[in-house]
Amino acid sequence: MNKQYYICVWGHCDSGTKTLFSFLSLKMSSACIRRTLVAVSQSFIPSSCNFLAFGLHFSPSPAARDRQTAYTNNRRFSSFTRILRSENKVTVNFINRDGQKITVKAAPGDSLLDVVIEQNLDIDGFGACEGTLACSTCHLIFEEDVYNKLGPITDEEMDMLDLAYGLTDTSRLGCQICLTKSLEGITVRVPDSAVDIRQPTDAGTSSSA
Amino acid sequence: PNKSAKSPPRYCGGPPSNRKSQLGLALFLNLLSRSFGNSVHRSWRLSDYCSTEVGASHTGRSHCQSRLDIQVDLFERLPVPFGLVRFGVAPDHPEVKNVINTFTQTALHERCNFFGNVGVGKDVSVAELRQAYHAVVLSYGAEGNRRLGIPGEDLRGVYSAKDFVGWYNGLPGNKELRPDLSSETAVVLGQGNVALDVARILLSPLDILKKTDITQPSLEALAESQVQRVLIVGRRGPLQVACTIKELREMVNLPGTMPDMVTTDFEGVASVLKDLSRPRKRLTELLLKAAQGAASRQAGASRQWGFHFLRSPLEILPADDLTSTAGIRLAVNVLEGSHEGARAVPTGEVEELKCGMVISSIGYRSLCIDPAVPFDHHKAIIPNTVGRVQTGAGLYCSGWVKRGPTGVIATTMNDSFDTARSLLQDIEAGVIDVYSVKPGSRAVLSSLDSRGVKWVSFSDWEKIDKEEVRRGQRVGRPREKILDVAEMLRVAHS
Repeated sequence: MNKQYYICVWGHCDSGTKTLFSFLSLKMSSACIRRTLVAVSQSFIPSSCNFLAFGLHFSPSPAARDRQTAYTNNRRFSSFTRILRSENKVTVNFINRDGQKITVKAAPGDSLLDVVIEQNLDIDGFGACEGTLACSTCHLIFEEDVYNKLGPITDEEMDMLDLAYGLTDTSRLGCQICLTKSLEGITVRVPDSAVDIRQPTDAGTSSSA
Repeated sequence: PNKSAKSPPRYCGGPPSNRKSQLGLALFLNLLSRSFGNSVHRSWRLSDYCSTEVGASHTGRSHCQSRLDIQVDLFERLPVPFGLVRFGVAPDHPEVKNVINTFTQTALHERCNFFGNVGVGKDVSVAELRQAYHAVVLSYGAEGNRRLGIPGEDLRGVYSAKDFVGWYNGLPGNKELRPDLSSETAVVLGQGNVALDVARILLSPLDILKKTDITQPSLEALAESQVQRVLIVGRRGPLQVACTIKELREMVNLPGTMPDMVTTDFEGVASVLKDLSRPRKRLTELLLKAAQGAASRQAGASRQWGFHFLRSPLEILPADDLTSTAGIRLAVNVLEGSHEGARAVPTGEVEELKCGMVISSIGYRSLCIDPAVPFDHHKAIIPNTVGRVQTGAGLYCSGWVKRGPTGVIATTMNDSFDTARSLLQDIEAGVIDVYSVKPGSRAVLSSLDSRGVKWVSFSDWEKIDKEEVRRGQRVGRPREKILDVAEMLRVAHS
């Protein structure tokens, strides 16, 4: 659903001038906000400038807000900051299920799910619950040294990861991993999702999820 | 018609236009069919113009030389789509329903059509569909439930979880269930996620439920509910529970409730923890913690829930009036073997529990909707090989009717991808003759019209959707579901 976002874009050029570029109130989905800000940054802001965009979200109605914060362990961030300087991109490599390597550049702060969605990567069935820790379809496998550098894993993420097909010791959910400069150049593998009829199915899970 | 894509798909691989995406399209369309007792059939009609390439990103490295614009038509028994995502997922799990956005994007694709209110096997036969389309995929899920097969099963106060869940989720056939919530203790038979959903809905504070899309009549009934204690009974032990940790954690954290379990049921469990796989280990640790009372007990917790292990139902006991439920007689079991393969063996001892409601959550069951389709009545699935039904080319199945009624959305989704792969392989191999001309929906719809069947398009569903959301907003809820097919049709065709 579309939320009301209040966007403040503040920046300064290397020459030292501080300028408030704009204060916008936009109603759109959070993915659109990110896309809009990325597009704006790429079109209008010269690369010699740094700037920061703040997006704050206010729920438009009690019903929507309550649903968002309803009794669930899956709270979503409702604000984000984004460093949009075009040189501040992080390169990420995805090894798809067919072995094909996809290399993209993405902004620090984006989750790996965001990257897959925004860049429309051809990975089937990725991100069904849209990043709310209610599925395991954004399951990714990391290299061990990278895995050890990642942020802490919550019980909620582990609960969903436990259901993932092909779980490994270096598996995480892509929606919970946000890019930072220290993750520059990492390679993540998209695990197989096929349910082979010769293999036993995952331990007796039934329908509620 | 109204096929404009509203916003870019939130879900990777939604309706794009390149070669790989045609496969993607076919694969994703399977998602729409995860259904709860609804006849959803997907049929492909291949366009008359075939040329150039079909990509094969998922069916191995093979390439063939014809590009196909695959047209997919979905037939659904109810006027509304989405099946279990709408009628099975609990009202307090709204984030699980986010996948509806993905399904919607797929349904809005220009080569996809939705036809609701069409009962396959009733309004149109599978044979007619096979004549009209190059391929037919049956993915109508599991509309029935496994019976207990014990005396007292038909007493008032005994319900299948399928019906109880259908009741609080607004499935039209369960509108008149009127479950008896007047007794203090309810027994749920089965220890899977559906059993936990039922327990949680029975014990959730009303403050939580009234912000969800649970139906208004259910909310009112639950507001009057006298149920204070729910026992979740299973044949085997703690190491064999079929539920998953997220649902168990929700029970442990449920406000106003506390766990009430017998710690002797857990003897020997702690010592095998280290040998378990991580998912089973974490689940068992949480269960152990809850049983030992180390889990948080909220102040003022007046409602209780607990797992009751090693018990099989023998008989449901009537009250003095001989029509309502007063209790349940259970056989006491021991386990032979260990872990997933352990078997419950009766000891000869019995136990009786007092209760006024029994909800049987021992599994859904697919039905045979058309005698022309082979059906294994023992396993209650359509016999198949990787989704191919062996009655000549062009008939497939996917989802619960193919593999049996277990699995979360991701499991069923991946299974659908498998069936789609089989179908696409058959196209490539020429098993499906894409060069024969098939009439597609034209033929089916004209038959339906002549039979007076008022089918519902996707944009008609969108009218129903808007109306439900509008009614919900009036009472501060995400939606107020329409509970009645006639009213759905009235709104759809208004």
